[in-house]
Amino acid sequence: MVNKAKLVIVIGACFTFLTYGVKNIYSTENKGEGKNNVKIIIAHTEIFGKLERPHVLFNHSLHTKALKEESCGACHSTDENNYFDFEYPPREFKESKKLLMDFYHDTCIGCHKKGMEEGKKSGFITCGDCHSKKTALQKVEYPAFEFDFYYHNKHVDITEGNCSICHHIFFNKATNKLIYEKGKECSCNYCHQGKENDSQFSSLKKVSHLKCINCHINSGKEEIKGGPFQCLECHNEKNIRTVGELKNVLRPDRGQPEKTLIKIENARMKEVPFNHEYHENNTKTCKTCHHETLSACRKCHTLEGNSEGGMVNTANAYHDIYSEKSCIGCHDLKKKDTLCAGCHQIHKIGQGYEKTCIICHSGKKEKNIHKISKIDIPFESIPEDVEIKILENEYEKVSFPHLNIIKKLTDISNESKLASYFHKDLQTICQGCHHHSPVEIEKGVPACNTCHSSYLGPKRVEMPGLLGAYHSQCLGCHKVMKVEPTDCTGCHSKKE
Amino acid sequence: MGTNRRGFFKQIAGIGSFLLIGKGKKANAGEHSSISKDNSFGVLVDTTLCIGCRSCEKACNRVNKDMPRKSSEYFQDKSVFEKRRRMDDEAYTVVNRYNDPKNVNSSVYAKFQCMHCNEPACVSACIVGAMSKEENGAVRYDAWKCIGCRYCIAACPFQVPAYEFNNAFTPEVRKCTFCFERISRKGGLPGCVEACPMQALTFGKRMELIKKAKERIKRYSDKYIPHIYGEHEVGGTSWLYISGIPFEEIDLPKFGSKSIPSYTEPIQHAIFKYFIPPITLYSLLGFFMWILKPKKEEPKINLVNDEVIDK
Repeated sequence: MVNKAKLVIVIGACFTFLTYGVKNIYSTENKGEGKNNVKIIIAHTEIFGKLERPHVLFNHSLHTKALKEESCGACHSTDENNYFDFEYPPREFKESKKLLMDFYHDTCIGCHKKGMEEGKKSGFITCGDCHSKKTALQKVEYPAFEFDFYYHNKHVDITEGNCSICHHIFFNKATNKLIYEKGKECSCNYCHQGKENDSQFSSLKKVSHLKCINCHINSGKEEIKGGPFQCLECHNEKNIRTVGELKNVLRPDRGQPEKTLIKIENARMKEVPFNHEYHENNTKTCKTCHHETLSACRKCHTLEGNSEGGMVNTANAYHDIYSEKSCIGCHDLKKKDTLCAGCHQIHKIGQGYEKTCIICHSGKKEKNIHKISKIDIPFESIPEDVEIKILENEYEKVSFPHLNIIKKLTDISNESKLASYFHKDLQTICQGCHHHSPVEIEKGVPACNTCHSSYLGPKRVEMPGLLGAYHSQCLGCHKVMKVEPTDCTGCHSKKE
Repeated sequence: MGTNRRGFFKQIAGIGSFLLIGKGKKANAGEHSSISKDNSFGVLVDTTLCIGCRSCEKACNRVNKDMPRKSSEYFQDKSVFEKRRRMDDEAYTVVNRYNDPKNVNSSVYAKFQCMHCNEPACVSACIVGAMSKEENGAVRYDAWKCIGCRYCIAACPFQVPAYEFNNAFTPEVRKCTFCFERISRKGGLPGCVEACPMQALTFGKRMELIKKAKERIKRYSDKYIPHIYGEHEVGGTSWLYISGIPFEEIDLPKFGSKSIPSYTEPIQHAIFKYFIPPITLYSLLGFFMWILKPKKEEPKINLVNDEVIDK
């Protein structure tokens, strides 16, 4: 009996060890995990289509650490200039499914096997270790690097104004050299548009890795401080600057005018004054407005429209509300800003453009900016505080600071150049809340309950009642403009 | 030889009942659509407007006098949002809080109650007719008829009806009444709709509400998901929802446009259609009994061997 009991215990212990122990000892989980580890998804669904096994999550950092002595050359091939080609796998292996699969299996497993034979710590060689369901569930996302004008200026300083190091206009195949021409510099992605299979131009990913990383590695060798070449040093959210942060960064000079008058030949409308410099400082890149080239809009977008301008005529190029590149489209987006959204989002005020043409099409070189003077506010005809008693049964009366709100909105309007251009007078400000009704300050404004009745019923589906109108107006505005209070007792003090 | 004959009858009966079920499906689909949808009332819930004040819960508690009255302080307590709540026998409606995937700092609130389906599964499931769909859209419960089988609770796709499990002697099924008495009066509103300070709830003719919802979605296209939940879900519901975040995230499950009864009723009805299947079954059983009946002249010992008698 004692022997039998011993046997059971031994078998039990073995079983426990097999199920838990082995997993804990040999499990690769948590090894190589960490915040600064760069992982790359190897899936190539564009070639393989639907995958038979889970995709591979390649830990790039682990490999750079392990192959420190061999450097990038361990995996990435070099070209005749001794530049590393960071396109992986090389293009010739992407021609067929079999070729690509064999390439990965031969290279990865081959290298891992070799390491194992040499007695080094090596990587996986069995299928399921790389094609793991567990790791395939991990989300891998790195922000694209934005080469903004802050970085551009830094590079101009370092290269001492030698633009040809990066910029070129074409590649001469016969001499195998990039040709540069002064004054024709433009953004990389005008030609390198990021398409993987473009036969004429390499993708933006390929050229930026080729040019940037190789230059950074080589300059580091020449005992100058080289640039970053580790993945996360560039692909990092911290490197992305907002428009506000870039406001005072110098923009490159390509001979653009500071202020100009947009004049279209044979156009019926008057010319539009345009402050190019102001718009430069309030956008991230030139691409915000310009697309293929840096030339003027009217060069491609002709009055009637042609194929060169993508069948977009001049009028639409400047006025299309759905395009982020057109004047009106971009200005319409600005209405969603926190400070503007209160009036422009709640009631969609300022959607009609028919009355506003003349504001831009003035024909004068200088714009008329209307600052709304606070001295002009007719204090005697505007109530200072408005008492709202609608929820009197439950709460104290609400004292609505009417005049203070007018003053605040006037300030907001005056501070913005765009707003002060369109907000002509005090009435415009009033219409932010007193929507769909005529505003004559001296005569007074229709009260809210003229339209929003306090009676609610199945027949009043179209229009919110008074209670709903007050709350959605006040709270809606406070929410989109991020103003306190947004809770009940912030406005309605509790009844004692 | 007798076994062969038996098998033959079995097959015939099987094929027959299969055909009947198949036939019944076509004949019975959409039986409840007889209630005119144009005239029924509904409520449009705009979850983008809801601020989670719980006024609707309070109003519901006050309007339904048979519910245990809770204090005003209870309804001002915001800590209830920490847990996801469900309707129970003491609350016909609850408001829940959800994370806004678009904006980490803000939350989305959504009110729930009986959806008052156009073709309710609970009405179809009730075997005594205690549940009924009214002309004005309300799905009503009659406690007098109820036998407490709780089929309605199992049938509801939204898991709405609750049961008074703590009431030992006169337990009832509890769910939103759509304030039937109130809305039957001219110009009457459900308690929650009247109380909502944001007017996130709009009461009106269902058709007009759909029109209004579409208008809102069109006008504020950047704010809403272009879908009205309840317009087609489970055959349409009287309560409609519009939202700025996907409906699955505010616990409104994805349903097809076919109503629940249109799945279950064809099968149920086919089994008893014109009483043919039961009559067939019993006559077949009778037939077998008659065949297998032992002959009177034979001595009792022979009963053991059926085959011999058959020969």
